[in-house]
Amino acid sequence: MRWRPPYGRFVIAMTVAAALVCGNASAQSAPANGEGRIVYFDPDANHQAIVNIATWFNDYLASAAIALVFQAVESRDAFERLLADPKTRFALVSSSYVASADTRLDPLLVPQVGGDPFYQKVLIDVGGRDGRDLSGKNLAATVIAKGDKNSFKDLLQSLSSGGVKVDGVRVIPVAKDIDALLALSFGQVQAALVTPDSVEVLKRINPGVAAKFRIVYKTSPILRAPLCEVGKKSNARERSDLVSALQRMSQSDDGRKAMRTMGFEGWLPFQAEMLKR
Amino acid sequence: MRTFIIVATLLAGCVAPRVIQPVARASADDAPVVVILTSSNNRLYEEPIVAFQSQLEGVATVYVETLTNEGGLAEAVEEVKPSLIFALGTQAASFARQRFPDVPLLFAMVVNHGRLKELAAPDVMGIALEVPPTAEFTQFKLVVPSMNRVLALYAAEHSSDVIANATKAARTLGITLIAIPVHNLEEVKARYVEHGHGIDTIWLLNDPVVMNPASFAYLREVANRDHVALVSSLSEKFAKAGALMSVSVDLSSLGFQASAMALSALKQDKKPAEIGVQPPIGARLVLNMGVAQQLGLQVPEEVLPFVSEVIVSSTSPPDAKNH
Repeated sequence: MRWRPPYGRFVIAMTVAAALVCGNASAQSAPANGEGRIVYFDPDANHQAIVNIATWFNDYLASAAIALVFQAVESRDAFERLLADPKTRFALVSSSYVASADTRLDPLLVPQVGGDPFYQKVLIDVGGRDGRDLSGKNLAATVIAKGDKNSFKDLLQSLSSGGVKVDGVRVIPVAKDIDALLALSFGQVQAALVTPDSVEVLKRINPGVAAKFRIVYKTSPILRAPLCEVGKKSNARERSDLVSALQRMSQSDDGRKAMRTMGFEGWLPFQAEMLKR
Repeated sequence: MRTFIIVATLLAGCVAPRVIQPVARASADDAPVVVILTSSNNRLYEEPIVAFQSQLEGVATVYVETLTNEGGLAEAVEEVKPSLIFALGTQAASFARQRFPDVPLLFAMVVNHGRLKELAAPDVMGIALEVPPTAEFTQFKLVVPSMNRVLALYAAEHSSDVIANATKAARTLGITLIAIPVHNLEEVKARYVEHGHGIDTIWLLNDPVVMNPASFAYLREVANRDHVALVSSLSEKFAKAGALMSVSVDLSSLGFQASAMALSALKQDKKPAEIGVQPPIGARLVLNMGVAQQLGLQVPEEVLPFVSEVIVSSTSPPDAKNH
């Protein structure tokens, strides 16, 4: 038996305990009998934070007397299983999914930041030859992967349609933009796909690191993940109560924290032309 | 004696050699074989394994095995002729290196890998378990922009290199790192009394003298008493146990990072020696909001998208003696 320093065991024991605590967290979100569900899946979100998001969202719904349970999932498979469940009456899901879904999803509200329901991503490198050629390079990006080999398909398709070469690119998914930017600064990846806001945040904290970055591509505007009614499973009263509760969400601490962690600060009514843009 | 030898020989003949089965098989006959070895059945290994396997699907035949007391593992692994061993954990990495010195090794989840001399070899690449100081301090600064004077107690024989890097990293972020060597708990206490005035943060780094239950309990107690932030490396459990925040490795990203390194080596884009030991990509920033409130820190909501987990409930630091 190899000698191992005592602090190693201490750390491992503490970490195992933490993993066990986290393992129980998602089960608490399942709706009780008779309750409906809002299911959340956004591959672009900070998936590490879904336990917090679900807790704050549910606390807000309870305080607003909305009898729905907010359940966040980390894979497309889990999302689609829940979508087929009669209890799932609403979904908060990426706009690219809404545009291509087989299930009927009717958007009601769209998240906004500063009144803007769209966001963009920028492809960043640290200089060198053609930055739009990612062939054989490592790319860090916020995308939920969870062992699904096809999980990067949408991401790579969106880059490819913008003229970025993606043959043989290796995607390293990270939970937060800041992780992608730091990996780029350490030379572990050759490119990072992030929001422009995250670059500004890093510039403020660590201007030396951010000074090396070069924007080589900007995506088209992406509609933030809309709140949709699923297959007309809800009724007019439930729909209207939920919509008005969400429109007041920024007045509550729990509501604001949930929205901020999901990357937005309020809601706008959905308009059909938003999906066409 | 003769009878014993005969019985032993018969028994040995009855025990079938250990056979290992692939969890994923590549279609091509000449596809490389990758054996994932874990030190134990610890659930923490699951996430990186799932991520790693997903990226090698169709490219390599993959086996997943755990070190156990049963014999025959080395022989069974040898039988499948691995092109690469991906070892998770210290014991798995040491076992792989000792039993298969000619097979390229990729290691991860090894605490302080630098202390294992066998991992400093040309055919070995790996991912450190420790997040680089620049990444740690950048994430700490996200939450506490006013962080200015940070005390780090450390054992010189273990952590001099880390402290040298951290001092540079801190400087670029406008932080003064006051690094004081210690040898034991008594010195941790004495040096804190001498150097703890005027600091706003204590950094608990991955060091055997300070990262242990007794030193952690003491530092948590004085941090709480003196209204100083205690921030930690390596494990989020420190934030859960009363530190203000922690930065630790993201195990899912680690699996994907390992797969990129493995693919690079298997496709011979690069040799393991060229790939070397890399810092982990991705980190978990865990913030204890109860401790933040005790310290009177206003954490702006704008930083929430950058935080992996907020511990909402107030954490009263437990008695150090009961830890």
